[in-house]
Amino acid sequence: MRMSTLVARNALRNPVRLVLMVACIAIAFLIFGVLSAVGAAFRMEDQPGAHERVMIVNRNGLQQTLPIAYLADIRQQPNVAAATPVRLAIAYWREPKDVLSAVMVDPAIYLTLSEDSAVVSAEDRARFVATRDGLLVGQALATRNGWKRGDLVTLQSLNDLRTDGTRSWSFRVAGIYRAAKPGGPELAVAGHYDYFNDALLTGRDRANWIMVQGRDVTANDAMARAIDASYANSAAATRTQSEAALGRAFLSQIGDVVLIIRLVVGAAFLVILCIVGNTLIFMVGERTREIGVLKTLGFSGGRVARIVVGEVALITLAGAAVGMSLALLIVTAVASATKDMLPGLAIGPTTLGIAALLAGGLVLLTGLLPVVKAARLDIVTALGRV
Amino acid sequence: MNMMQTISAPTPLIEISRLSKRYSRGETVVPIFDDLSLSIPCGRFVALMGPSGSGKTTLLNMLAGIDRPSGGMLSIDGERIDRYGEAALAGWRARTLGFIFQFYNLMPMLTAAQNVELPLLLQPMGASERRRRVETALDVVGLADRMKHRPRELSGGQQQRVAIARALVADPKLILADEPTGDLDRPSADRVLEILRLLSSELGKTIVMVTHDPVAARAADLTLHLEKGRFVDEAIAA
Repeated sequence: MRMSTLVARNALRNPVRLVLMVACIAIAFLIFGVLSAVGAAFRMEDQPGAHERVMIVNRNGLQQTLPIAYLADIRQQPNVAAATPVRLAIAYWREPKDVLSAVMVDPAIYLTLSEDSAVVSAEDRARFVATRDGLLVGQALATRNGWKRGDLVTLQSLNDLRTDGTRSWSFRVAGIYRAAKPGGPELAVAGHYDYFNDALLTGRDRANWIMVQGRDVTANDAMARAIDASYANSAAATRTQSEAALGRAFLSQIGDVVLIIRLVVGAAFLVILCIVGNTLIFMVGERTREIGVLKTLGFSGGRVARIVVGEVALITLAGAAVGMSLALLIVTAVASATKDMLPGLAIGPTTLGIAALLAGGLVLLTGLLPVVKAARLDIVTALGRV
Repeated sequence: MNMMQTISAPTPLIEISRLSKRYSRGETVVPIFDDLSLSIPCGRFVALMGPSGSGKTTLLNMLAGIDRPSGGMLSIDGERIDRYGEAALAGWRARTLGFIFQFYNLMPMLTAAQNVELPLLLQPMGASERRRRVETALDVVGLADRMKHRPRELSGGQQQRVAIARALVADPKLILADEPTGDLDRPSADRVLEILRLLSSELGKTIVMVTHDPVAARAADLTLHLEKGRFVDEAIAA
């Protein structure tokens, strides 16, 4: 028998209580795991390049656009390696309910800037760049709609009108991209900005945002300040920030998601702390006599404390492991269904690290009182209790 | 008055001199005993009798180092345990003392063998040596065939024999027993006393046993009577 056997036997002596305590802790970690994954996805933490790419938007909000004339000036900025306009076209193919996200871009530059998130073959790249009405399609979308390279696809815009009075833009499928990360989004399409723009009746020569790749990531902040300063007094003042920051800004429009997540997780852990702490104190009280016996046999206060800490750690870590495993299962299942709405929904190493720290903190906080109580227990008093 | 009880022998294991114990209850000081002296040599089996409140359990607790004297000297095997702190006392108990409780106090979630092994977890020895000692100790008390049984699967007498095996497994010089037969029927009590007698006579263990039972006391070499915190006589068993 080892000391760990004693710890395990102690923990297992009341299976119902053990299961309830583990379940209690597991629920807290499940909430933490799922909400953290959602928060991280909102912050685009797991998307490579999200911090390096810089987005220029209208200072007055994402609903406002920027003049395409800015693009030439921006490309002259010393740190700008490449820049493309992005015109967002909300459109559908055949059924209005099948809305898809279409971005109209400078194809060659867009392919370069998207290399970290989309994989495109050399042939498809060349064909997409060379074909004025070419469309780059996500593999999942192509499979769903039965599109092949060379197919003619007519998209109906929900927001934009053509000069001929229709809303129809015909594209030829020039290439198909795969998400760089397994399970990543593959339901969007990209077309040529010029092809789309030339046919517009209104809102011509505008972009929803301009996507920029800096030469030196460390100089991005200075570059952003310089760009914003250039347009500070213009009709369309700019706000330049990283892609991840833009994502956060977008979310701030519906509320401070991260703050909400922190409050919910904090409340869950506070409740768990009270429940588990109270149960552990009760548990030690229940074993007062046994602790007295152990001390009579020669177990020091420190050794008894280690046995109690071991038990607290075993219960807490089991709960944390169960909770995080469930969170991983749920997030993985949900991520495949929401990969286009919320790409990057996953429990990453950062979340797992925080979970480990939380588990450690929980052991310390819930175990503190029971451990001190057990370690300082007077033997005569303990043995006097039946 | 200094009442010195000495059993003639060359090397005393237990030496008590002018030992006193008082409890404070508010402003009232309650003396348990005062000026108590005693010397018990190695290998003796001593019964400690007396009415309730006479101080015998308090004295036993002091010999175990789980209660502290208010004054005087308490030496066991040459160690002044009255001067030890908690950590030192725990270490001393682990290497010198075996303790048998009236109500066995076995860990319910452990088997008989695991209960006996508990004190060995504090000793620097390997698993095979621990297993050998546990088997020997359970064999001594006649329970070698009950190693895998949990306390609830054993009778009261068997549980007390497991507790005796636990007390002797680390080979302590001193075994203290607090009413070890108090919760047992006569045949079980006789079996327990027979084992304690054997531990003293054959293995040379020094045993101090608190008991109310005159029959149990007759198993000892010597019976000391404690009344109102003082030894009133002595008798060496035939």
